[in-house]
Amino acid sequence: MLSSMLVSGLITGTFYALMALGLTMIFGVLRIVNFAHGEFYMIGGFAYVLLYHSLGVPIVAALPAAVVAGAALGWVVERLLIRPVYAEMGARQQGRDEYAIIVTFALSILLIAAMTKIVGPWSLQGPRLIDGPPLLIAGIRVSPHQLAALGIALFFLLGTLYLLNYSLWGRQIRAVAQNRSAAAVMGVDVGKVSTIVFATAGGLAALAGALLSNMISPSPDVGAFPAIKSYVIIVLGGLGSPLGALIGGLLLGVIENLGAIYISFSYRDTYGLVLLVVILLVRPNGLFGEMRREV
Amino acid sequence: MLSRLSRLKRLAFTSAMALAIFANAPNGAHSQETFDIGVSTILTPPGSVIQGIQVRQALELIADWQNEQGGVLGKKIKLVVADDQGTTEGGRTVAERLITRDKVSVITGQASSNVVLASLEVAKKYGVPVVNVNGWASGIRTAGVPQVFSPGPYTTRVITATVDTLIALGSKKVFGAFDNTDAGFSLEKEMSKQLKERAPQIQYKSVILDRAAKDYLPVVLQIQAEKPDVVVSELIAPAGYILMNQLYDQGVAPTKDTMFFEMGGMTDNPDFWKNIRGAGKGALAFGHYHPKFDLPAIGVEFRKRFVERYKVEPGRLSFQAADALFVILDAAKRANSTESAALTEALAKTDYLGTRGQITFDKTPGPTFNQWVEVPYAIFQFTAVDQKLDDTTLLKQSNGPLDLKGIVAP
Amino acid sequence: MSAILQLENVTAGYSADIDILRGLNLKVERGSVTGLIGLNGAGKSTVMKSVFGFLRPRIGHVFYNGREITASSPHDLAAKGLWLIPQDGGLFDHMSVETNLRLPIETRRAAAGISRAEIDRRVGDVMQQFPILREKRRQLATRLSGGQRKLLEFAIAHVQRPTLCLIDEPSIGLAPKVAEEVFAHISTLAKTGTSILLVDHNIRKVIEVASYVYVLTLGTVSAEGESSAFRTDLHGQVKEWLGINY
Repeated sequence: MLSSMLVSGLITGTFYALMALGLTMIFGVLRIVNFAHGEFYMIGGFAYVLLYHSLGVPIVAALPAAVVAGAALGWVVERLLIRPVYAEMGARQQGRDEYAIIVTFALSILLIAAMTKIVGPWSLQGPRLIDGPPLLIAGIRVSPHQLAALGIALFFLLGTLYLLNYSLWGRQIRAVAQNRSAAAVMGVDVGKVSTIVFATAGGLAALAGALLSNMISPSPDVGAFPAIKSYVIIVLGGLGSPLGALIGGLLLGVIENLGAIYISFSYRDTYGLVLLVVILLVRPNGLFGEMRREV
Repeated sequence: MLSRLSRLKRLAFTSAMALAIFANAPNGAHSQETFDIGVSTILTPPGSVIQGIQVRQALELIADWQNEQGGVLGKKIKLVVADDQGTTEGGRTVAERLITRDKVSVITGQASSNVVLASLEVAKKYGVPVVNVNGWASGIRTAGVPQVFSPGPYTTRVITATVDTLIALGSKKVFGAFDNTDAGFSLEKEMSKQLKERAPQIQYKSVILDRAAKDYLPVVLQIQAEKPDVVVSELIAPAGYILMNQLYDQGVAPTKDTMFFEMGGMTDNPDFWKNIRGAGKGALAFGHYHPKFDLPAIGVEFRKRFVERYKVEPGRLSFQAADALFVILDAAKRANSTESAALTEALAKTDYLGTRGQITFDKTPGPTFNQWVEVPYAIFQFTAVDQKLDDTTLLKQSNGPLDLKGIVAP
Repeated sequence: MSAILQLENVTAGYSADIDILRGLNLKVERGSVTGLIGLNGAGKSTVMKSVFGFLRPRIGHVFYNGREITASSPHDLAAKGLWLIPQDGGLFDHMSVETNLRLPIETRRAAAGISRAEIDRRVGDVMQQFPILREKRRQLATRLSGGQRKLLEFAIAHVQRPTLCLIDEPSIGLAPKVAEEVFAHISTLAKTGTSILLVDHNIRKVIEVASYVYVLTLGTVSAEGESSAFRTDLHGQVKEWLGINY
């Protein structure tokens, strides 16, 4: 049972981390919490499922298309709604945080409502990437589809982390996250970096939504759950820390499962919060938090 | 200054768009020419919107249908629809607003127990009758509010039916899964009680699950370790879909050793087979409607009109909603009034042939107060993936006895 | 037009109703070091921000190399060969010294058409020039002392080979000995052909390094002249121009 729960927790945690990575990147670069992050997940899930079921697009095309849909949404949202958060960097930024909270919150409601109007409130299960008999791993049955989804998630998760650390693209993102005005002085186009980060975050969340659509059928409100997990994870791992998102995600997945079998399943969603409180008592900036929050 | 202005504009735009999509045609002032009926149901999450839609479709169909025939007492029926989101706060504020602002004289449409429970006090305070559609929890009846009527499913009946089935199956060990809602807690309590009293030979364990959770694997493994011969689930969609799929994927149920019994009434959701594949084959289900029911003429007509209008079979929630509204219209005719007090009085004396049978309300205080005690139900089994309700094996007809002869091992 | 930078009638401020700069006119001649002095609050740093795209002037124009650059964004200006050494916070604390040194030039590489080999060469040169940075190149910038940080910012500027460099209060908060070193680097930078606009509270040093000096008072130029004119009677003139007992 213990090994089953560890394995299953790590699998779940990988998908949590995929969501949280984008959220923490957005926070790092823009110092805002994107309250519509779950809806990127939802859009990705629906794009994948609807392209496949309604338009007959093959899976190999539907999955990348879902990622592109999420990234495109992220791009548009950043350009249309997030710009004012940092436009005129020299000018005073009164009401900036309030604006960001309200506008992303309203966006979240808008996207849920729009999707409910367009596709209805129904859930639609996504197709499996590959079919086949399940494999027995540590006492739990894992389908080939789950393994494939996990592989893709890990690839994108580690790939993004690698690029953040070892590519110019990633260094520019980290530069903006560490010191926005210095980055501008150093010739980094901070507006472009912000847009890219939003698009990347949108794409990663959409990927999570598409990969999980077979296990968790997309419905317009499906994004609330992964979003809440992501908020816990990014505080746990340290706001703005990509590595923290990875470790925090895996940790949350495992802790939830252990709590569910050794304490009680009914409180499953609270174990993460308890863990969060404990970690914040010991490390107020989260596991890998290094930046002070701007006042 | 420039950036502030543009921020405000963007904010206003986003919020306005969200509101515009959400808002349902605002209702005008109260008019003497119409019979204004408040509809409180789930149009947006966190409640089950699937249920709200089925309720709303039925109510709108009947309102239009009756208005074609001249309405009631010479007045057109006007539905004032409001979104309670399936939440307790939503239920209370919507009921309050429908009564005080929209001046409705009766409310219906509630699709979840917590919403009905929240409206009890409001109904009592203003003396406005509430004919709920889908409030299962016992507390709704035991509160004894004279204005609140329940022509839908209720805990004791659902559990009686479930325990009947478990006994007939010769079950030895049962595992029950319930969600953390008023209905879930009420059902779990009744289940333990009835099994203890009526079937002490059955070993019983249960778990309360968070319906917002998306992964039930730890519980599935726990059930696997218990090796029950029946798993009973009350979880409604979408949580119920996830649990069913995980039970199936892990090879727990339905299998030849372990039956799966769905008592939450989600198997006639239009999206059931879009989310359930192999997990549905062999599953036993409890429902408040089945296409093979012997329906009275009005039920046959309702079903026909529903399929014509919405191109889909009505589910049990649509039938429940239809009966709730028909009962209100009948009471208005008998009372020759659309005023709250007169309606309440007439509702109590209901003896009306609805879409699925003869509806009366019990006067005995307790878990059946103001309840249609004989609300019909069916027990049936799916024997194939993508099977239409029509083709499932009916194990109990609306007015017939339970007969498990046709059952097959999964 | 031989001026590399020209501000024409620039009015700017941070909030709608308060102007910090009021009809400012200023020129930096090609190849020169131009000094800008003034009291705290006179608007010295605001001049830098208005030129470098952090603050959009409400009125007026900024020309660089004869072309208007009013309200261009910082990264566009960097691509055009302008550089700014800000008063503070010009580094990425959680990156290594070497990454700090390389990131800006790598960012500009494509736009400026610089080869990777050229970058390596320039970084190598700068490491020679600043031995302390070579020693600490793998350390995080956050572990540098205040003086070392300022040196790193100068090293970064050197790597860019900018046409025009704006230097905002380089000696603030530094020990006198370190400040000397910093001013020496300004001269070195100037000798490579970079035009410089220098703001510093150390009036004596500014006058020493610069060839032409502007005195800023309440957002306008209250006096200007060849720095030699200031050298002869520094105290008296500055006292008069700034209106204080210096």
